[in-house]
Amino acid sequence: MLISEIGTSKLAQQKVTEKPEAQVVAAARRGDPESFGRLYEHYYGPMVAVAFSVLADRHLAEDAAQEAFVRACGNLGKLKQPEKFASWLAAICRNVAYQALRNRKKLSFVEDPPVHTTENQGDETIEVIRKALWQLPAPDRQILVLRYFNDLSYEKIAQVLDTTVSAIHGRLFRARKKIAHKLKRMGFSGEQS
Amino acid sequence: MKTPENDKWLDDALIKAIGSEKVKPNFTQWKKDHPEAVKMLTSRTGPDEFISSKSVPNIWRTIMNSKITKLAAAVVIVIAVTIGIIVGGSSGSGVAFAEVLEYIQASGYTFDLTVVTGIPDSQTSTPIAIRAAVLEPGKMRLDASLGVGEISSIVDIKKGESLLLFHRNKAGMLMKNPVPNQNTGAEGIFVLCTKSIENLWSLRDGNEKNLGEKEIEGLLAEGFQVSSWDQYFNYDFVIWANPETAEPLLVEITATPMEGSSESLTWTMSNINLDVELDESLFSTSVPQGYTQAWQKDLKEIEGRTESSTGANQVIEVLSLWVEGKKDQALQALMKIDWDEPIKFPGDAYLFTMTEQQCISLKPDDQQNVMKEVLAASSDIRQISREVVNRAQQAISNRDNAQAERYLQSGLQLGNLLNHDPDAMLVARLVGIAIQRHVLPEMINLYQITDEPHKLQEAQEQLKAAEAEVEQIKRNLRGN
Repeated sequence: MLISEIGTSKLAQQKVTEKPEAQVVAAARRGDPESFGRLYEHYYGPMVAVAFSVLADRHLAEDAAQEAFVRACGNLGKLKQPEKFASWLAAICRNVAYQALRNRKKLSFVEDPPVHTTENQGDETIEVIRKALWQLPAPDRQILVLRYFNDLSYEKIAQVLDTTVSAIHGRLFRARKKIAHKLKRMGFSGEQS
Repeated sequence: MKTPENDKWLDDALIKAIGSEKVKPNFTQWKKDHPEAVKMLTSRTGPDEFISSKSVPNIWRTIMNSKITKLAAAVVIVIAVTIGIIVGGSSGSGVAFAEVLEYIQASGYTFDLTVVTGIPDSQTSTPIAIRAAVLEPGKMRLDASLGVGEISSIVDIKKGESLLLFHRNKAGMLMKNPVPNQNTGAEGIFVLCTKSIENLWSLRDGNEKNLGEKEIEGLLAEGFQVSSWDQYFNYDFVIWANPETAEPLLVEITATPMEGSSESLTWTMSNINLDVELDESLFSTSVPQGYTQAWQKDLKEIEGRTESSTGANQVIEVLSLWVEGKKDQALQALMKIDWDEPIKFPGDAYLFTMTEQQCISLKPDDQQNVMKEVLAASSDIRQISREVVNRAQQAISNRDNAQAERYLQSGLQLGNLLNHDPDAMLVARLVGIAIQRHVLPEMINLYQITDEPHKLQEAQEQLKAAEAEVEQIKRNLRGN
């Protein structure tokens, strides 16, 4: 299938994650806004998740994701391997998110977890889980957020993290075990909920 | 059961904790909000060229073939990596980076650095062991023992300065705000590497890959691989960190030229010792007291006096006549010199006046000019001394021992002239000693013939001293 045949349907958007993505990226590099638009539609959600894993703030995460696409526009020419667009964009997005975090002067997740601005605020159980989540090492926190924030597929997470689906399974399994262990250590039995 | 071990419960709890509102991308709105980005994008027309491969600078070969330059390259690239880690980490280019950063930024740390080239069967593939210390991000010191003795390299990225200290020579080479220039020898290497740092500093395209877990020095470690590049090199970083604490355990860095060579340099950071107290003064880029600042001075600044003594003028005349091919006249002039009178040369007679430290302090071009002149003059003097010995031998065979002694004494004085000051340029001293070692055995032979025990003993002792001096210089050069 040629990239020009890819529409904006779900199926077409899935196709963008397969081999032709390199062609979409190549077209975007040549200055084709439509191709860049397809990349935007496809990766906006994962980028918000990436930024959220750093910022813990839905609105700031969306701002960071949008800014990441702005920076990508300026740096697309520097992308060496077009098939790694997703992980490259994710790296930019993390940079933007950390920069935003520094601006907020909240660098320490462990002692001072960021305030969440999602629904369910005020729920004691949820707050305990959030606290445990933000005490995890960054890689574990990130993979959990990517998986649960927007129900991203394992395939998409693998693309964003430039790894394999089976590696994602393994990492997710370990991250879940870690947070369960942490919750238990924090005295969480589940009875609170 | 509502417990963390219950998968379903944990799934639901995490969805609630993280939030599951659907994200709705709106490219049309984004375009409206960011017209400058759209402009940037659409201005990119023409063929789709991926990163342009530039030819590898010739100095790569120089780096590969010189331990000193490898050290210099090591210090800046390791700093680059550290900064890459720090910048990437703090701004999120990689999760492991971020975790490592939290430790690295907290305090100074030390590690062992091993530099290996990727050239099979090459002498330069011998690893160089370096002790490294980081005071804070961008401030690093490397110490190593190389062929030219102990060397330290200190880089302060924020100040844009790097200082290379040659402890044996008590010399420091300071580079300030280097600008890219590939044609200035060792300086170019610093510039190239510093440029690499700048490129890495603005790194935006790290793409970390999880390498899983393995055991390193008895500790479980989680590995991450990150690749980056600048206009000259591809960099591959592999970082192994404690999965529980995120403390870095081992970092491997490989730099490979973009094109034209498969040779690579690999740096391994191991024995990473966090939270050590480091003396800030060790990271100063000021040339330490008692050290000469290399490559800074103009020749005019150190030439000094212009007047010269009679004896000095006569030596200069001998050299002039010799160069003109008037050998007999040159030797006659040499025999007329009164060696008992003090001989003072003008400042521009570098072979006789310049000290090693002064030479080191000269700007590279001036240093090169001085060396050219010194080598030419010392070659002439060696030829003169050989001719003197030949003529002395002829005189001995003609049983004219007095004439033989005059020749040999003149030759010896030339040697003494070059080797009278321990601070003199090493090349001058070595030529002086070579002349002494060439003339003195013939003198010993003469005094044995003439049966002059006092003079014989004196010549023997002087020869012994010259031999000892050579051994001392050799030991110094070996760093013993």
